[in-house]
Amino acid sequence: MSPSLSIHAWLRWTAALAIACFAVADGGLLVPAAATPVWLLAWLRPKTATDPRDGILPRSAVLALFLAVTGWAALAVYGAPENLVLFVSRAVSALVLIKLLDRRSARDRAQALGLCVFLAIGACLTTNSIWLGLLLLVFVPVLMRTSMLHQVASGEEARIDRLQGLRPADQRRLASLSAETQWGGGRALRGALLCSLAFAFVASIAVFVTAPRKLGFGVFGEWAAPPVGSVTGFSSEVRLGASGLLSESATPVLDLRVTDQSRADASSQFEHVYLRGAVLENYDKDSGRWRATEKDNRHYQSGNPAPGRSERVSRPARDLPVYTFRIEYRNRAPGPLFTVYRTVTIASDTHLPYLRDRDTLVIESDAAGRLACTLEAQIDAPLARQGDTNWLRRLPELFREGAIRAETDRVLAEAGLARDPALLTTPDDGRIVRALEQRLQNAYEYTTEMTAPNPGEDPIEMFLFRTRRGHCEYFASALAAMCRSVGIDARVVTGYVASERDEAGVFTVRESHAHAWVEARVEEFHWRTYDPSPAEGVAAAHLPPGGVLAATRSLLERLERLWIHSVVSYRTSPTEASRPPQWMRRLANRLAVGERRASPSEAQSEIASAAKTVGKWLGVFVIVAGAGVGAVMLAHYIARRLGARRARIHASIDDPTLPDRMRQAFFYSDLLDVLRKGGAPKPPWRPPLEHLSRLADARPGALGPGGRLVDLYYASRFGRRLLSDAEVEEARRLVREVQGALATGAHPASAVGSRHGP
Amino acid sequence: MTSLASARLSEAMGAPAQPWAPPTRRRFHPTLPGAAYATVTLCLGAGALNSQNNLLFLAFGGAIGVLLVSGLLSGSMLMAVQARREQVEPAPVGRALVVRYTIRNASRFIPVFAVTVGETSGARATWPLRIGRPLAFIAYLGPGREAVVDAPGLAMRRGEIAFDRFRIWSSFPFGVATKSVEFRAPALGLVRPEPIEPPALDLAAVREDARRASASSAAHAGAGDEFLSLREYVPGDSMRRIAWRASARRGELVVREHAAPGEGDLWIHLDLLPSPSADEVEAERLQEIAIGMAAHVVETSTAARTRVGLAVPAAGVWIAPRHAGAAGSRAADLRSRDDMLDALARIDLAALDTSRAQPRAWPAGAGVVRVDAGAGPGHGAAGVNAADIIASRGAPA
Repeated sequence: MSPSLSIHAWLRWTAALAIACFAVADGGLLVPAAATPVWLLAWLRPKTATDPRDGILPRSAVLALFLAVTGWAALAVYGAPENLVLFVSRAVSALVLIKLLDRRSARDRAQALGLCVFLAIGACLTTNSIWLGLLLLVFVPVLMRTSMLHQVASGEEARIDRLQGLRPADQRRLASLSAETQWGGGRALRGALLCSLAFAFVASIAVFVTAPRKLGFGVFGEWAAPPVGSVTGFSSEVRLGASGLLSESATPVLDLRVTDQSRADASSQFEHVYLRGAVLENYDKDSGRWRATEKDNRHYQSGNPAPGRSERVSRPARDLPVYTFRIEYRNRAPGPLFTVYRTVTIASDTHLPYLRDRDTLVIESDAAGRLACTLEAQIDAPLARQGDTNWLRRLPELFREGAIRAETDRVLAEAGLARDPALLTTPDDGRIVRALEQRLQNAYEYTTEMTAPNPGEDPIEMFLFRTRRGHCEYFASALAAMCRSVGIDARVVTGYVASERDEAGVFTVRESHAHAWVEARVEEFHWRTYDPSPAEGVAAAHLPPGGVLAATRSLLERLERLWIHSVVSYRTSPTEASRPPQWMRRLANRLAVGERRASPSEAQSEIASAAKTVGKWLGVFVIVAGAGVGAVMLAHYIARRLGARRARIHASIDDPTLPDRMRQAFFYSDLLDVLRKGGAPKPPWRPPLEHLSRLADARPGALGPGGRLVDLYYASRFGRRLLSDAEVEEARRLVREVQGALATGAHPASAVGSRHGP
Repeated sequence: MTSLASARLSEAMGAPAQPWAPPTRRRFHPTLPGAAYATVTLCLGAGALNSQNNLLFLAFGGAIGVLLVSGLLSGSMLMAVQARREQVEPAPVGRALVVRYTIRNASRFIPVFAVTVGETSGARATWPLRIGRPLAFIAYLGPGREAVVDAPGLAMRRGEIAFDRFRIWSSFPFGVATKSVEFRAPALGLVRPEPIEPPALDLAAVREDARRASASSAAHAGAGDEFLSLREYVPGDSMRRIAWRASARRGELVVREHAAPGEGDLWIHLDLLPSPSADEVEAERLQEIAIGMAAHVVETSTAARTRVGLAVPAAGVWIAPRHAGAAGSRAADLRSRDDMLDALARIDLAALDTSRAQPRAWPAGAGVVRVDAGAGPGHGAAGVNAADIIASRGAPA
């Protein structure tokens, strides 16, 4: 099939893939639902149209739709400027569809292809998911093939259009061979496509591998930093008392790697890793909610680790191992992020406020972007004594009286324990909390079915005394309430429990792994983790699903993880990126030793800081210079085009009065318009007087004024003289006369013959 | 005409008759899509650096790769292209003047896609004054193949045109860069006048009148090529002139009599002297119309196999009808016609010699069609029909 015929099908598929890319990124059903019928309409149209280049919509409708889409996008962006990429991409996807219904000329096709490219870029700015990557692997070759076909088809169509501007006899002479017989380059085109793909792939990999990371990082804020997958949120409160079933969504939330100080995999040392999210201290009996202290959420005690730098937030305890936890989020949502207890250092590639008294991180906005952080922590170690009084602050008194206190005393009495609520800590606190924990684990049933309490009933009391069954939040709430009833500070912590580990030692954390547990102060500076939920019940709830579908999903998840580690997170580890390169460290050492002015670490830091500043400005310079070069190229191009046009005009007629005469000759254009609209268009090869004389058979009144108009035009165009005002006025009147003559009588097309007629 | 068939034909015919035109310049042309593409690529790079988004780094690398491969592919395609311009056939105004090129892809491996061939304008190239830009397109030309392509340009004004350089360019594969190679090949072409049918002129009657007039006088019989009549044999007639078959039918000897040279010929007297009352513009328009009418008479006479001559005294043109030596040759008729049309095409209205209004004496027995641009009898009517056609016979008009 010749390129002129196949280009339309390829363009449709290119548009379909571009829209699919954005639909994957957008995640909603709106785009595919709107695109499918329009695409089908564009697909069905060429089968019925005599010319595949015919547009489906009239040009006025296309313009109206274009204005409507552009206006909608402008209003949407004005209302929510943070979603600029999303709205613009949606508008571009609509424009692609409109262009599919328009495509009258090669220029329309080129515009549609350009919009497809913009749409794919918009998708890249919206998500980093593997599905987009897979779609791009298909989209790019199809786009390149379509572009190649477009180049060939455009030239071929221009050739045909030029032929149609000639007289029929010339057309027959020159078009002796049809387009089909001329084209024999399908195989060679495939070869060129493969070569181009290979070249682009190599260049892409080369840039990917060698591009300087951290150069110019963050100059324009968080623009162009999309998430990896779909956005999932994490609640910063616990609300008891709802009825129904807990979510068992298997959507991956994050990946966790654990290494020891020698950077060896240490995941096998952990059966479970508790990833702390929200730390909840306040309980409201009326609503059954656990909440964090608002004051503390606003007041960041310390630590706003700079992006890309590793910052120490506490001093490590001696003789206790330090583990490195690398957390890579599949998505980003505002709210608590996840740490492990007793954080020593934090390194992230974005700005993450650190709440010292809770030992948690918070992300403040829902701006898109890949997110990963590396924590060094000593799990279950006492907190460092840093003189921060917040660590000594007591939690509000809760449940000191009532049924829960009585139940706690009864359980402790059975275990031979007792406690004075007025004390901050006692040596038996660890045993007390453990006894309560075991009581809950053994005497209560874990279930994901949720039961609503009776009106006025405290959900915790409902769980402890009536239903005696519930999910992790009830167990954690009950333990915290029982601890608080005897004066032990305890708080509910929500987060994820990482328990699904693969052969590579990577924990995959899913939405269904959300969990709640308790941290109790068993020493003055030691909050210890207790999980009162029955292990069997939790394990059953967190058990990975089986079956073929599960195996397929597991395979896809591995693929996605490979994608994230090999592509999305390639060379973006904050600790690696923040470390100065070796040459810089050597230089810093020499400077420090040679000049005796600064320590090597200070010199390294200064050089790194200077390099970063230089890098930022270099990036800005490159962008500004590039934009300048682009502007100069554009201006040069426009000037050349205008100059060439002027040169052509002056080459044909060297006459300074030409511009004025061209302005005067407007009436000839009007005459041609009138003829076209009157159903008698003048073929380009037919002299105007001959055309008018043919027209005279059907419209006798048109010949006289038309002939005079042509005389005036010749006088102006070739006679090299300016028409008088009276002549110009006469020309205007004559055009109206021709228009009136055409408006009456029989249709003149038969008299003047069609474009392809004799 | 672009085809593998023509390529095979060309190969079969052996080496090209003309040498390949030497390439004079290879150029890279910035294009608006290319500038837009480069801007988008820069933005991609900026976005990648700003966000450290690896997908954008990949896209940025791919975009650079496409940019490079675009330049490399189109450049390497054109590196091995050889071309020459074939002879340019004349064409009348309103018709396509076809410039024919032979393009050869001398590369052993790299095919040529989507190349356009076109003339370049310049100080030495006068074609833009008279024809639309001739452009040809080759969708595909395999390695080692050759193709002949026709570039039609709409002929707009009568006269001689000069070609100087032509260019081959391509934006393949992605349209973001255009590479071109320019060849120098000076050549001349001709735009002939557009034939304009004169009103109410019966050329056949004019010619017949002339023939009868010459036949009525024996003195006109001569040694021409054209048969005139049969007459009785008189002593002294050459035996070679006896028409034996006719003599056998009649029972008496008859001899063939031939017309004298010039008898029955049709002469076109193109009087281009402008009307004294017409302004310069009007006079030029009428002169062009008169030339077109003369061209029409030449063409119709040739089509009717009438010997026709052309006299344009003011332009110093005198082309006698074809005579002995080429009798019966259609090709000679066409050559004669082309000579006259070419002469009409070359008439420079600005260089007319107004002192030479009258032609030399017409041959006896010839019919004369006078095409008048307005100065002759009957002139003065404004408009396209002002040129007069006057048929006469015998003596000079």
